[in-house]
Amino acid sequence: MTARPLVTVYNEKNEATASQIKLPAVFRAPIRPDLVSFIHDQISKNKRQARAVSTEAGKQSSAESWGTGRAVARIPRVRGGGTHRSGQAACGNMCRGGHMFAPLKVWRRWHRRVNVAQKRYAITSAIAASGVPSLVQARGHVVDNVAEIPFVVSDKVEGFRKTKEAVSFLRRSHLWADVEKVYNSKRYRAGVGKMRNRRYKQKLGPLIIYGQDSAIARAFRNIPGVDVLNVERLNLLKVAPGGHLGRLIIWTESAFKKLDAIYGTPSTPSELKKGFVLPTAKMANPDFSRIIRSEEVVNAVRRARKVKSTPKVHHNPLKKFKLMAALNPYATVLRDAAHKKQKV
Amino acid sequence: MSSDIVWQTIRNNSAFLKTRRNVPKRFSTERFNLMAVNSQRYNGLVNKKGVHIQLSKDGKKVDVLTKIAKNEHLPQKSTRTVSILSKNGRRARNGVANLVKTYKKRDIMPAQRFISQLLRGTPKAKK
Repeated sequence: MTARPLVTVYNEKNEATASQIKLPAVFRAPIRPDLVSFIHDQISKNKRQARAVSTEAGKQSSAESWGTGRAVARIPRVRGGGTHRSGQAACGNMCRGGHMFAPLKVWRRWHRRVNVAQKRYAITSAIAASGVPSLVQARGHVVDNVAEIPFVVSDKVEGFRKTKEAVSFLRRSHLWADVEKVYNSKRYRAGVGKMRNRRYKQKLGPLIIYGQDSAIARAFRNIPGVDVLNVERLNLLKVAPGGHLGRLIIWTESAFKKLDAIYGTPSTPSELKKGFVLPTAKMANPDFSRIIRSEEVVNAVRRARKVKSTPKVHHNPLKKFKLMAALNPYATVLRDAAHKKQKV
Repeated sequence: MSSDIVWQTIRNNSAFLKTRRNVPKRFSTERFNLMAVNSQRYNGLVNKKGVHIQLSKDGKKVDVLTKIAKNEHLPQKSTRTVSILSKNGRRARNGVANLVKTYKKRDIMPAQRFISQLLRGTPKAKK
């Protein structure tokens, strides 16, 4: 499916403008949920902060083993007297108040290196998936009344400075339903994160991708669920949140136009990413039903042999008189005699 | 978009997928899925053509929605709605069969089953 149709640009009031842009070639990149999931996994580890248990934790008592011969286990025991604590076991991972097994260290490998080519592949795949309405719906976005996917808006949106304008734009473009979904999904986080400044959880709404730096982020940032990104600095964690494909993306016209320059096309290399060529799919035509119905296949294949074997239904002669008569001709005579007797 | 590719992405992972413990069958609640079963054949998102049946907003008619394959990327214009006015089960079933048989023969039976269940579930209007 390498055809690249024209995409209509809509203005901030959701009216189709005269300008149409040829679909950037990125949208025809192969859709690879496995790769995106893996890369997302790796990349999401890069913002982690080191955490560890104190190096002296559980080791700060001057406990010493009593040795053998005193009818107690050989674990180090707390010295001194006059308190419950004296003579208690200390220092082992099995002891109360002892250090843990394998104390956590800050030099754990927190971050992951990801090959640049793989990161780029993942992002192109995620962008391509955002252009498939089925995937956007399956991810959970409400797009029943959106005019077109991919949704491209005129650059007027980049000039928004007030959240009011942003909200009115989203409402008119029938994208507000997705934001309402975010409002309705706000709930307490399960678990201890509640007390660690992560009290609430909510779903994600649309992602707005703009082409030129402006105040657009300030207009949209206070709307729950909405994220804003610059085309030249796309973030896989936002384009495919959770490693799942199909985020609802709103492109501004200048962002959409830049995509061909950033990612290139099959015939022109990328201008901004050195040495980058759009990934190609393993199968040029993945549509199974089209393949089997295509001229080449139909002509090469013989007709299907449909042997209709209808099972023979055996009826019960005791219930179907015609069968009984076929089996036992005298049954007719018996029946007529019985009828006559009844009449009399 | 090839239904096979989209299916491979969605089959295990979708907002509409419903799995429960001790329930061996997976259900799927998207529109255009008449059997509500999670399978490529009946999935409402993956296939170009699809039929959906729902009560109209005023509750007096039954709406039969069909997907317009050409408008897959224009969600606002991608469905066509025809209303069935009769709420009589037999008449509605025949009406649906007539609507669906020229569009997608495979969906005649599921559509008939769906509309029968839908009407059985709606309370009868008291005259």
